[in-house]
Amino acid sequence: MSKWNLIVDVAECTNCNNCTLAAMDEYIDNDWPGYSAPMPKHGHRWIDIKQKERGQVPFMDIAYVPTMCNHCDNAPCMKAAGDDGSITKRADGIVLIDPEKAKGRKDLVDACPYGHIWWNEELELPQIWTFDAHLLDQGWKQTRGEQSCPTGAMKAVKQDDAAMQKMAEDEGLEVISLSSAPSRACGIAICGAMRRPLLVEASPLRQMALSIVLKGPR
Amino acid sequence: MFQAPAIKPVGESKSDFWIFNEISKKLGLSNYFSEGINEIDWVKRQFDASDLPTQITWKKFIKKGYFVVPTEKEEFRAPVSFRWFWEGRKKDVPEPQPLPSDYTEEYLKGLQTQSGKLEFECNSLKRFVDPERPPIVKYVPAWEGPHSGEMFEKFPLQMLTPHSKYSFHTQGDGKDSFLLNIPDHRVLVDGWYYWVMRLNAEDAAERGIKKNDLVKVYNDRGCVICAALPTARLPRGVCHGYESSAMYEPMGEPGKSVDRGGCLNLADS
Repeated sequence: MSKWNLIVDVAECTNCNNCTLAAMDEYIDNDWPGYSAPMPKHGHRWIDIKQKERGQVPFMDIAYVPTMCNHCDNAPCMKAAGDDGSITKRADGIVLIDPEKAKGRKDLVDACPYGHIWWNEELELPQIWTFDAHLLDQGWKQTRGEQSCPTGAMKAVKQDDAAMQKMAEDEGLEVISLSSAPSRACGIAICGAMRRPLLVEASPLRQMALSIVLKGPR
Repeated sequence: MFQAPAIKPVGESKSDFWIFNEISKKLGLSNYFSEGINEIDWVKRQFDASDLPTQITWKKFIKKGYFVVPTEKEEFRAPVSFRWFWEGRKKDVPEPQPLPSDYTEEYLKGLQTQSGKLEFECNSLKRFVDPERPPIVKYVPAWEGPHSGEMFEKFPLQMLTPHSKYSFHTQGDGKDSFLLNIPDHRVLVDGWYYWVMRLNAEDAAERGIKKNDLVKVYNDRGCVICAALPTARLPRGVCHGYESSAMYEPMGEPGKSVDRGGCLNLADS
């Protein structure tokens, strides 16, 4: 079964926030029935770029990592939601929070180990980045964020698990762990090719909240 | 040059012409590509198309292997830049400068400066007494900085104010737009979106300033309240806040009170 995957090249992210703004443009004040209710004007960042500084002027390295709902297989939020259909996972891998059935489920916000379920106070609804499913279903081959990215750091790819696994091996893609939760994020593979020189030893890295697995140039 | 081969072809290597001709044969287009002639005929065709036949015969050319093209006749060469000026003549080149009104004495003689010559000491600037524009270019230290004595002791941080990354003056900003959601642009503290002031992490620690603390950014010209962002990206003694904030929100009388909209230019001018 062909599934949607998002590959993010963290070495290419420049923190321009185009993807963040593109998502806001797509979802704020826009209702996509069956997919998502409107994103509130303030307070949500369905695509959120995290930053990590290392070093000291003039030897700096700043890592930018775009994060969003990971559309996990075995999603912890789905488990917390239960069988009422408030959170479902499509056959193509996309996880959706039903804008009707999930009403009032503020508890689901804490169910996400990545902090990517956002609470909409006005609509009393938990919300996520929907992988632009409403656009992909119309035939779009890219997400809005991918389209807006000037460096090609984001790429949505539709292929089956075996092909994705092969692509991950061939291109050196890895899943980066950005929280203390076990990294069970499937569906989104992030390639952590940090091609800039390392400035600190490996051990302090593990203590940082952001642990980025480094891969040398192939 | 008529380049004779230096060595035999290595292995099965073939000439570009042969390769493309073979491809064109497979496409059934070899007549169009080769036009029915071979490589050496193509070289002769190039020879005939040039001016070489007026200087040397084909046989002599391939025997000798080269022909040195003589330099352009003097009258056809492009003139050396400013040669007319150097020789004290009237300008006789088509370049627009000096423009017709630029000449000081005689029309078409001299350059567009007041003396008509190249000037190291700028004559037109001698008319003004402006220490920031001396007639001879000199290094002038920044108007305020570590050399400012008492003022520097009072205000020890130098502030950089480049253009904002996420808005162009009021374009997108100042209208309660969703740009406010980007933390690098503005930070929500107690219900107000403050402009970001970045400062060196150690300078911040010395002042007891943590991330997102509200800070008063001031000198004796103006005062702005910002949200602090301690960072290692700045050296000690330097802070950074974008200018051209789209919001001016004086907390008292306009022009005479603290601004919380983020107009850092209040401290500049």
